[in-house]
This record gives sequence, structure tokens and C-alpha cells, in this order.
Amino acid sequence: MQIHIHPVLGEKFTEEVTFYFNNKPLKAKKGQTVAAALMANGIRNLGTSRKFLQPRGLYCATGRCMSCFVTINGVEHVLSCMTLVDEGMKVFPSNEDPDPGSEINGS
Amino acid sequence: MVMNKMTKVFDCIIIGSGVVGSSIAYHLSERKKYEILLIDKSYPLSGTSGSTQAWVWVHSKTPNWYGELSMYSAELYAYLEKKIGDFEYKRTGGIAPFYNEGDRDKALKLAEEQGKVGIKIDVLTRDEVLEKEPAVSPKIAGATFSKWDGNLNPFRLVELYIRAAKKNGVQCSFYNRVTSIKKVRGIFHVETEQGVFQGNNVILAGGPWSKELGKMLGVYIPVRQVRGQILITEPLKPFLKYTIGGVRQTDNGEVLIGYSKEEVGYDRRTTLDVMQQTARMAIDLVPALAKANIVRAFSGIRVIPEDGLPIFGEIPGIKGAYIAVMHSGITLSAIVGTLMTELLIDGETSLDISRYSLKRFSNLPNRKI
Amino acid sequence: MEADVLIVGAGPAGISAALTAEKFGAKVILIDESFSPGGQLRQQTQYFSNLPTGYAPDIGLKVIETLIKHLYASSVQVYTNHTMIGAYKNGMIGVTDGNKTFPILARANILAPGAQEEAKIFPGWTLPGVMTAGAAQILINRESVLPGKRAVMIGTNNFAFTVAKQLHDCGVTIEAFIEEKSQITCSDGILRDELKHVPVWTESTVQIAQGTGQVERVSVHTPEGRKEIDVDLICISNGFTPILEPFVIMDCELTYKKHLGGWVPLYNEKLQTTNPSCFIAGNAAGITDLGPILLTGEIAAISALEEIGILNSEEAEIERRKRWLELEKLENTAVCQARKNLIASSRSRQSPLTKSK
Ligand SMILES: Cc1cc2nc3c(=O)[nH]c(=O)nc-3n(C[C@H](O)[C@H](O)[C@H](O)COP(=O)(O)OP(=O)(O)OC[C@H]3O[C@@H](n4cnc5c(N)ncnc54)[C@H](O)[C@@H]3O)c2cc1C
Ligand SMILES: Cc1cc2nc3c(=O)[nH]c(=O)nc-3n(C[C@H](O)[C@H](O)[C@H](O)COP(=O)(O)OP(=O)(O)OC[C@H]3O[C@@H](n4cnc5c(N)ncnc54)[C@H](O)[C@@H]3O)c2cc1C
Ligand code: FES
Repeated sequence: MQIHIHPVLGEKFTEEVTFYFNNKPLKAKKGQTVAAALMANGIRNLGTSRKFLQPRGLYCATGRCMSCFVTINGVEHVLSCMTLVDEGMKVFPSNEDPDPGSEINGS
Repeated sequence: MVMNKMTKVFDCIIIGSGVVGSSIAYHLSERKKYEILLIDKSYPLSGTSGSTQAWVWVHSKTPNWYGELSMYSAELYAYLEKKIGDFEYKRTGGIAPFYNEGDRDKALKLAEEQGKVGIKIDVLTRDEVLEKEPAVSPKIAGATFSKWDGNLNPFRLVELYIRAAKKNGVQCSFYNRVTSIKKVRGIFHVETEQGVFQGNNVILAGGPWSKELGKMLGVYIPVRQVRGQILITEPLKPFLKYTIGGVRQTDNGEVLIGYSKEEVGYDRRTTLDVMQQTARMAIDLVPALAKANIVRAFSGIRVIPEDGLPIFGEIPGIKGAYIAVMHSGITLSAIVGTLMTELLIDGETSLDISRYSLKRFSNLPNRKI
Repeated sequence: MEADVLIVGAGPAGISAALTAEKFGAKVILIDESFSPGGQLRQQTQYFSNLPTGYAPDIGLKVIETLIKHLYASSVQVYTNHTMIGAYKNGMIGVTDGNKTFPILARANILAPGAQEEAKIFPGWTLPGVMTAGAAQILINRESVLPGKRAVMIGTNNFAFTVAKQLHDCGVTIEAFIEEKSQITCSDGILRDELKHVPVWTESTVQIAQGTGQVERVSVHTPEGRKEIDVDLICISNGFTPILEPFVIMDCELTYKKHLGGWVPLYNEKLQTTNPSCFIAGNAAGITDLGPILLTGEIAAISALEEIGILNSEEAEIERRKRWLELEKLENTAVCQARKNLIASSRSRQSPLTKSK
């Protein structure tokens, strides 16, 4: 949920942007990180752990725990807590190991 | 450790519990004849065995008798795994690429030489390589290939050696540095930070510290310390099947990358100069790696005998004192442990090991100890 | 890129160091891996009054806004989204912007990477909805997003109460504090009073957090038996520990000091580490109060300038002394004692801490 009027800070963000999660359009405030923008839309489950396939979400919010990986605009394993959301951004959950194979034989 | 240090005389004291020392301890203990003590100044993977690429690499080891030794070790690993447990040994097959058509003759020569000792090598064209391993860059000209090459998990290997050795009664004294060695009336007195231990035989397996250990016995050990820096990617989907020049993917998905050689003494720092150069070389060979995140880098100190070949066997002139020091200790630990056991317990070995003796350096001009 | 001084970390310590170094005439580069400067002060809405002279008492966020304004008005070159990831053979620090990695040539470095929160492990601690107290604080105060509606806070230290109060003010229901020890550890009476309606379960530990896809429930082992409540947010406040990677990269010696957050780089009264080109400031040095954090930035800057000859030793000593005196007045006693012990141990050390010249 967005906090529209913060008890100490009032209205912090004004500009709105649209981004996509699993191809679904969502609204966020410009200035928010991707992890926060998703949480504002009720999405806390950002990916799946590689060994036991458990759900993962934001944990430290400071770029240290690697629990908030998502795929952004085709780049895998981006820290969603350290990346600002942007108009038109395409975000997918991080459900498997990165696949470098898509660039086989160079190009 | 609780033991009567002064009166007890071990049959054998092994100094250094890297892959070489712990393999010797395990193989010796299998015979159930010796009381053995294994000493390390730190913990068993604190040296080079814990900072290695861990290929079991055979096919390009020259001269061919050295290749043959490596092949026997690879052969032994398959059986060893059944005895001491799973250390993720995989004979993936190894690809050693070359970039110039001109190198094909050299490759054919290598195949011919190694063929004489039973190491079958295929000399592949570019297309054949790309068919085997599509992730390799089409910039290569070809490669030598052998089914003998593979890799293993060194952490598991050393741990399992030590676990099996302990089960067989080997006593261990870790975090205990050896400070001097004296021979008194035929018995070695090994002085450590935690007291003196006595042994009828002593084996130096000190990896990069072999020179210092040699000094304690008044022997010059002709080895150099050569730093190697390794990059590790985050776990990636399996996309590399083979062990390739400088690059391999582990069971868990990480790719280990390393090429560098620097003589900087025992300095295990990593430097961005080398990391960036290593990354460039890897991307040149496997372009898809350009997309991979590097999560870690580490360095290890190779110990390289002056002629590049392993040194093991009895130390000339000091009865009961032995040494085992080599580059490619991961490849060779199984065969070296086996041969050293035969040498100590049976007095003769199933392979002629005189080529590997320290003696071969004795006609070099006298070195300062 | 070249500078007299490179500063890593644009939190209050790094910015204070940058402004001080610039004021004394140095060419300064300041980098931070985040998308904006300010560090962990960007989400602090609590009021700070024990600040050094020259600072107006205000909420954390405003203190840092003012500093950032000065920063951008100064000649300091600021690079956000730049992370220190390694060192080159010649000792230069290597930085990446995610695309390129390159060296920054500086005559002295000040490392101020701050601290990170300690984890707390129990079954289910990796479920979405379980997060550090600091993460919840960032979400409400920096991101304007509610991380949940019903929460428990694990831990009862000052930070746990600070964040619980801020969550409460944003409309989150705090169901309980869960504390392993036999009593509350928060020393701030006013804060405790403001949250006295929240039950505190002492001698209690989390048994398991459960839910499908995210946290829905928590079971707690208490002296009165097992308690289970429905929550969608579990915050963990288990203390801070210095971020060490930049120091490890620069081959600085570490030492263990419980009251400074565990492993910390060894440093002397100049805030110089065992690598003579590297100085330390802020939370990374185990300093926890904002006033002292700002002052360590200034002291590190003065010492760095002394090291490279921009300040002479007498000037530097006078400037440093002034700030240490002020710092001691503002510092929490346990930290102060631990810091003094650390500095004393660096003095009695054999290998030269300041073999620089
Ligand atoms: C980057 C890199 C990549 C490599 N890649 C490969 C590869 O792919 N394949 C391969 O086969 N090999 C490889 N190697 C080489 C291989 O790792 C080594 O040959 C092997 O690990 C050496 O083992 P060791 O037991 O001799 O030495 P170490 O593992 O270093 O063990 C020596 C032990 O002796 C102890 N010691 C020393 N002095 C004393 C003392 N005074 N008292 C008590 N204890 C002491 C040390 O603490 C240490 O634990 C690589 C090496 C490096 C650095
Ligand atoms: C999540 C969180 C919440 C906190 N909340 C409070 C609170 O409410 N009250 C309180 O008293 N204290 C709080 N603290 C403690 C806080 O650290 C200090 O209050 C203060 O912000 C420390 O200042 P600093 O400048 O030392 O470090 P920080 O403010 O942490 O700044 C360090 C900066 O260094 C950057 N950095 C780190 N590593 C690198 C690198 N390798 N390359 C480039 N940049 C790097 C970081 O991005 C960061 O911006 C909190 C800490 C955290 C982690
Ligand atoms: S939440 Fe920890 S790295 Fe993003």
C-alpha cells in the first residue's frame, strides 16, 4: 500500500509512472525503488529460491542480502531494492538461475 | 591433543594436510600398519588446496610419462570415490582450444606422443568443437580433446580423506605449526608450537611452504610460488559440459575462471588488474560469460617445482625423510598417496618413481638453503 | 579519475568528511553505490539534538538534506551508483558503475561504508514479509510504502522501539515485541512509554513463521506457553555490524570488539587503519550516534589531509583534538569505552600502524 500522507513527511512523491510486472501494468511513484513499487501494489513475493524453491522477498532493503533479485528489462538478477522504478520498465520475478546460454556462440 | 608426546614414537609424521598430505595419510592408514600423525599449522584447506580450480587434468601434461602418471591418478579417483565418498569427481572430457591454424601441427604431435602411453587425444576442427560445446567462441581455430580430463570438488575430497584417515586411526594436530625438525639417533623430533613429537619417518607435504620445511632438514627444495587469481560467477543454468582451457562450471552452477600467473611470494590478495584481464580472456573464449555476474574472486599460491614436474619420494641423504610437493596436486593426489604408501611400507613401488626424486636437482649448482 | 582524497560511502560520515576535506582545500571525489547520497540517514524521521556545533537540531532526514545541499554546492565530485569493488596492484581503488570498472587515483582514501543489520534465524525467516527493522523503516520513511498492517518486532533495543513507533504512527498495528532476554533492552524511557500499550513477551523466541507465499502467522515460544498470532510483517532488530568488504579489499587488519558491533577495522586516534592510505569514519568504525558519526568524518578528513601534506601536523593535531573533545561529550559511554580500548590496542601493536612515510 502506498502511504499517501506520511505522518512526519506529508506527501513525499508526486509524479506517477507505469511499469509492468509479469506483463501486468502497475502504477508507482517516481523516486521509489522497484521493490517498494511492487510492495505498494501488494506484491511481496519477488522470486523463488534455487534449491528448495521457496518464495523470496525484500529483506534488508540495502543491497546486501540478495533476496530481492528480479529480472528488469531482460537483465537477470537485478537488486530490486537498489534500482529506481522507471516509466515502461518490464519486471519479472526471479525464478531460476540466470541463463547465459541465450547468447551462445557470441553475437 | 592428549598424548604422551615425549615417549611415543609415531611410525610416520606427515607435515601439511592439504590434498597431498591428507591423501598420503589416508592411503598409508589403509594398510593398518602405521601409527600416523598429521600436523598442520592451520586447517586442512587453508593452503593451496582450498584455493584451486580443481581440474583433474591429463591430456596436455608433457612429457608423456608425466601425462601417464596423471592418467593413472584420474583412473584411481573413480575407485576412490567408492571408498571414501562422493567428492563430485566428473570425467567431463577436456577441451584445450588453440586460436591459430598453425598450432594444429603441435596438437597433432601432442596427440601422437600421448597416444604412446594410452592417452587418446582427438584434434578437433573448429566446427567439431562448437558442436561439442556450443558456448565456445567461433574465433578459435580448433582444440585438442580428451575424455580423460575432468574436475572434482577439492573441499569434499580433502574432508573425506581426513575423515577416512581418522577412522583408520590417524591422529591429527591442526592449528599447530612445526617450527623445527631434528634427527636424533635415527628418530625425527618434530618440534611444534604444542610440543615435540617423535617419528621414525617424516613426510614434508607443505605445499607453498615446502622451502621452509626443507630448510629445517637442511635441504634446498627448488620450488617457486606462483599466484593464480580465480573469478567465480553466480550459479548459472548448466551451459558448459566440458572442462575447457581456463573455464569450468561446477555442479552447483558457478563458473570458475582463471588464467593468471604472478610471482609475488605468499600474497593472497586479488587485484582488479588481473580480474579484469581474466574476465576479458574468458569472454573471448566463452562469449556468453559477458552476461554473468561475478560474485567473488580469490587467489591461491601454486607451488611449482623449477622444472615443472612433481617432486616426491625419499629425500636423498636423509633416511626416513620424504617429500611430496607438486603443482597439480589435485590431479595427482590419488596416485601420489598410493605410491608413497608403497614406498614407505613395501619399500618398492608399482611404478618407477626415480624420475620424480629430488635427486634430479642435485647436479644443479649448489643453492643457498 | 584523480583526486587528493577519495571517499567511499556518502552517508553522514562520508559527506561530513568530504565537506571538511574540501573546506581545507583538497580535491575530493565521493562515491556511493546507492542512487542518491545520504546513506541510512535518508529514512530517519526521529529527532536529533546531540549534534556537533554548527548543526541545527532536526529530524535525521532534514539533517542529511541540509548536508547534501552543501555537498552539491561544493566542489566535491559526487558519483552515485558507483560501487567500490576491488583494488588495483598499485593500491588504487577500483569502482564500477555496473557497466565499466575503472580505477580512481587518490593520494588518500576515506572508507565510510556504514553498517549492516544482523540477521536472526528461525524457521520461516526467509518468507516475504519477514524483514529487518531497518528495511521496514526504509519502506515507510524513504519509499512511502506500508510493508504490512499487523506486525511483530523481534528485539527490544532502542532501534526496535524507534522503528516500532514509526510503523505505529503510519498505521501499522504492532502486536507484540518478542525478546529473548528477561527484560526490555531499550534505554529510552520516552519511547518505551509511547509504546506501553504493546505487549512485550520476554524470555520468548520465534518458533516458526508460516504462510503461503508470504508471512501470515507467527508462533512464539513464551514462558506461558506457545502463542500464535496472525501477522503479515515480522521485523528483526538484532543490532548492526560494520561493513567490512572495502577494508578487506584494502588489506586493513580487523579486530573483534563486541561493543563496536563485532569485527571492526583496527584504527588509531587519527582514524587511520593499518593500511596507511586508508582512513575510516562513521558506523564502519563502530560509532553509532549521529553527532559522533559526523565528527569522525571530520577527523578522518583532517588526518587524510595531514597524511598527504595539505595540512601540517600541528594544524592537524589542533583540529583533531578539538573534535575528539566534542565527540566524547556526545558519545554513548559503552561505545566510547570500546573505541578507546580499540585505539589503545592499536597503539601497543608491534607492526607499524603509521609506517606511511
Ligand atoms: C589458482 C590455482 C589453480 C589451480 N588449479 C589446479 C587444477 O585445476 N588442477 C590441479 O591438479 N591443481 C591445481 N592447482 C594446484 C593444486 O591446488 C596444488 O598443487 C595442491 O592444492 C597442493 O596441495 P598441497 O597439499 O601440496 O598444498 P597445500 O594445500 O597448500 O597444503 C600444505 C599444508 O601444509 C601446511 N604447512 C605448511 N607449513 C607448515 C608448518 N611449518 N607446520 C605445519 N603445517 C604446515 C599448510 O598449512 C597447508 O595446509 C591450482 C593452484 C592454484 C593456486
Ligand atoms: C537500514 C538501516 C537503518 C538505520 N536506522 C537507524 C536509526 O533509525 N537510528 C540510528 O541511530 N541509526 C540507524 N542506523 C545506523 C546508521 O548506519 C547510522 O545512523 C548512520 O546512517 C551511519 O552513517 P554512516 O555515514 O557511517 O553510514 P551510512 O549512512 O550507512 O552510509 C554508508 C554509505 O556507504 C555506501 N556504501 C557501502 N559500501 C559501499 C561500496 N562498496 N561502494 C560505494 N558505496 C558504498 C552505502 O550505500 C551508504 O550510502 C541504520 C542503519 C541501517 C543499515
Ligand atoms: S532486499 Fe536485501 S539486497 Fe535487496
